[in-house]
Amino acid sequence: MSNGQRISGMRYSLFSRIMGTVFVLVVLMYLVTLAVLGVPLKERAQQHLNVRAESELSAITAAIQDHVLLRDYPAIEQAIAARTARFQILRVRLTSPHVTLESHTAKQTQHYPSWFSSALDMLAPNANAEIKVGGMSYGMLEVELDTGSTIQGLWDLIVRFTLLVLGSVFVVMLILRWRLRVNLRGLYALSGAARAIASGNLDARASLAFGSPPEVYETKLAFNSMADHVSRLVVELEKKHADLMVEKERLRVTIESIGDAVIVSDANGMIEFINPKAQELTGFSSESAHGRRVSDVLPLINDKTGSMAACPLELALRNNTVVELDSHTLLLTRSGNRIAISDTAAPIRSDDGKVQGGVLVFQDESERRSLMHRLAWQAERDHLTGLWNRRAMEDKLNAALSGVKHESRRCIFCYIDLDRFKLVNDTCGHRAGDTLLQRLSAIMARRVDDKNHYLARLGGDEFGLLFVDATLQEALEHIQGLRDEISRFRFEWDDKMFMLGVSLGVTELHPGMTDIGDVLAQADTACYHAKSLGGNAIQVYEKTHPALRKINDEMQWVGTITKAFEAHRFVLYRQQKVALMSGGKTEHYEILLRLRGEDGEIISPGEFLPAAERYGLAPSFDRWVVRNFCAYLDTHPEDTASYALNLSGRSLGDSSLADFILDEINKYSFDPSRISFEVTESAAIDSLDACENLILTLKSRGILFALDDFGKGQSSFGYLKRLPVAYLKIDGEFVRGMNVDREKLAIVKAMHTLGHELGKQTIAEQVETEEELTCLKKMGVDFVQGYLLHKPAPLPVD
Amino acid sequence: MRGSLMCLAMMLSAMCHAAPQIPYAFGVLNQRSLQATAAYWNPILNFVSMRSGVPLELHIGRTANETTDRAVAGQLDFTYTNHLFTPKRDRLGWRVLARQDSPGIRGQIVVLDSSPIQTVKALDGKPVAFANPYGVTGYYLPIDLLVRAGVNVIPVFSGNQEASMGQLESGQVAAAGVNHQVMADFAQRRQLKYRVLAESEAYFDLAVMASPRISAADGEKVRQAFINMARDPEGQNVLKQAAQSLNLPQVRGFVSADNRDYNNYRRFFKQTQVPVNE
Repeated sequence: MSNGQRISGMRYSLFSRIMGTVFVLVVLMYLVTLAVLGVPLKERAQQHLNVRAESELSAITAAIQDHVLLRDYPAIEQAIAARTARFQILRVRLTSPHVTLESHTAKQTQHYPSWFSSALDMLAPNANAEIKVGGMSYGMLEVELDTGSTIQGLWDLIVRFTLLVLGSVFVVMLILRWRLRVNLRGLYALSGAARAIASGNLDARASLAFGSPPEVYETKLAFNSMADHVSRLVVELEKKHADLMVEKERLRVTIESIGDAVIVSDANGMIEFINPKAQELTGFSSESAHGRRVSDVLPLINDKTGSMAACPLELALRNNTVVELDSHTLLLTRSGNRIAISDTAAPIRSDDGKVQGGVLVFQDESERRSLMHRLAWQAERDHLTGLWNRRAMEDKLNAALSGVKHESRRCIFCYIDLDRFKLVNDTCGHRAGDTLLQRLSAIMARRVDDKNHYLARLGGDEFGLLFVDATLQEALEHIQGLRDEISRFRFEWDDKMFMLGVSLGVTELHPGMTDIGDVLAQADTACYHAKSLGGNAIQVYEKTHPALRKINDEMQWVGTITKAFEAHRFVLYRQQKVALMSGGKTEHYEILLRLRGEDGEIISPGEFLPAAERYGLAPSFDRWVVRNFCAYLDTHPEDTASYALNLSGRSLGDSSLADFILDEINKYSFDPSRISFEVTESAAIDSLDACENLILTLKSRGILFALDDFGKGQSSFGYLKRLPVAYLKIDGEFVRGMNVDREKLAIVKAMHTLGHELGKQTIAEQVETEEELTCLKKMGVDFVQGYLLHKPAPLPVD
Repeated sequence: MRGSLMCLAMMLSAMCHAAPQIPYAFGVLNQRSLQATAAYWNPILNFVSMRSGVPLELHIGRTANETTDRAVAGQLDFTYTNHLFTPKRDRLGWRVLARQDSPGIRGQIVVLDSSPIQTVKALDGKPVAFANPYGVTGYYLPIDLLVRAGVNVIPVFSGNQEASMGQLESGQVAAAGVNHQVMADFAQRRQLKYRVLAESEAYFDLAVMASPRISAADGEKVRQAFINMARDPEGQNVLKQAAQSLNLPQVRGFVSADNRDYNNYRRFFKQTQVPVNE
């Protein structure tokens, strides 16, 4: 509604409208009544006049009929004149062949207006008839009446009716005016109260004192109730407004303080608010940004394509949905700098879902995106060498294997294991080892072509090199060059010079391979064999190669061992170590592990232990042996012998092993000094620090250690000095045939002498002949062990 | 000379034919009301005028006596009456042309059938209605019967015969002196039962008479027109309408008559003891 309409609608009060309406209705009813009653009345009057004319004609005819027959014309004239005068007949005329008689009366003066007569348009009543008796005509009689009196009668009637209506209207309007004033008094009270409330007087209420109709009374009650409610709402609203202002201030401070940039626009994408962070990033001040398009203040560029990117806020406003930038968007600042940003744009909707504006929140993503790049790099790169890591290599191997299977491509994988790297690590420390790895990686990386060669560090000193689209011959030529270069490489550290070798296992990927596990296993097998050959060798995997088959067999053992372990088919055996020196009452045994095959036959450890050692199952065996043997000692108190248990090299590297052993021992009450452990010399050397800590930890509980297979490994005196073992167990390789081999005898004698000199007892194993035993007795070895003296037998477990 | 006279005669004849002919006044004795008389006679006179070529115009007086007076005064050319047979009027020279085709009329003294009066004698001293003191069958013949019977009654003149019969019917009079034909027609029309106490001999009904100044030719034309009326289909129709206007039970035409047919009237007036009003 326009103002004009509203003003015209408010021009007349309810009082005036009702009065006016009633007046108009009465006037209308008056006019309608005039029309409805007046027209028939006029017709009836006209009809009455016509009837009267006819009746006058009949009356005059009857009056003069005899006179006409008698031809008494004076009598006829007298009769006509008398009738005309008596009944105010305007004109009577008798026309006969002999005479014409006529009588008139003057029109009466009437008081109605001429327009009324014209409006009525009444016809002058006129009747005529021939006077005829027995077929004989005596003349024509005509009668004409005056309409004046009839029109006057109608006029008087209308005047009286109009006066009656006017009087009625006057009375009705007076009564209506009085009733309206009484009834509207309540409404005036309402409007007064409403105006008072509007002017701020919230305590104002419509008075209920005046007499009002029920509707107005109810309205006043409802108004007062509403006013009460409004007052309460206003109080609540003021409180909420105050809270809202505090909240608004808090939000303002928050938005201006947060690290996120915020831009708020109207529904057309024109900026209404921009917080300080957004100002800082865009280079626009709040004043300069206000009212500008978001895309002008926040020009975005696709980082990859360099093209302009669509403004997310304008997209959000257009599509009425939340829009996020893709991860390659740059903000072109006012000064021309480019800042990586991420953002979220969302439309601000009203309750009915209509878009009222939008908000854009964006952050400086430069650091995060840089970090992401680094993380992505680190995810597939080895942090030490910068080469691909194992996972990346696995991905590339997968891709290569797929290419081989589906595209008939040729790919070669080479497993690289550094020889004697541990020596550098152990003698010069890990930093030296890391430096060595970095340098070697650099040497290898120089030789690879980024396009078709992928070099990765698979872990420790192990590397992988994948050749894509290369023949085996080409790969081998490259690998040989690599090996030669590494062979020529000299690593210096703290005035120490190291010469390194490298063992390389090579395999060609072929469609029959199930997965990259096959590739790695074959290359590893080949590498393992190359290393077993003394290192610095290249071994191409061949399925039919005996050595490689053996290694493969070991792999087969893994499954068998795992199943046997789960089926509890491992059993404990013992072999006595006989003390040659008198005085010892305690029996000494070495605990041995045997596997019972599915057919019940006992399988010697030589068949499954290498595989267990190689594939990391030995620690589990060790723990199983400790756990079950401790339980045996607890359940067999009659057995008072001392026992030595073997620990694998991998167990020595397990830092939790000591705690495990002590926990198991603490479960029971036997004397811990009854048990000792044997570790191989090579295992002890590989985990020298861990082994030393383990020996020292368990030694505090009286548990001793023996260095097994002594003489077989590197037999460095330095090691011997560091390892606080109580026994040296001379390797059986030297014991067997020592009675006939002078060198073995000398070595055994030297090792025994060394042991004794260092305060350790000596044990000779694999004694199988009396001659060997004699030699050992003569030499003064403390314990002997072998089939000659005692064959391994199951632990007496009832 | 003869030729000149022929031419003058032809011119006069042409002039006579060219001027509108003034109709003859045909008076009718008041036997009924003026309206009934005019309704009955106007069609008949129109027909006779048309057939005879002699224009006739109905003239009626207020009463029978006035009509007779007009005839006597020479204001009428033709008349239908029986009042002109009294001695003085007979000498005026009116001649009879025709009469109604009826067996004749008789004067009667009648009472209502329910009346206790059985004889004329019983009427002595009682009011008896008559049409007027001039009517033949309406007064002279019935009063003559009473006079001859020696009965004195109180005469009540009602103006015409049907008025007398009306007074009888309403019981205002004990008896009425009437024309037997008029009485019979009235009784039939009103389903009125009555008894005749005395009755005169028969007289021909009223006669169509011509004034002595009417030429014999015109008189004859009028006579021929009247007497041929019943044989003319149109004339029969006119008679039927005229009879219906008076509710007459039968149509009565006209037959040729002359003065001799009314000699009994003349005798009566010479012999009656009732004073004749002339």
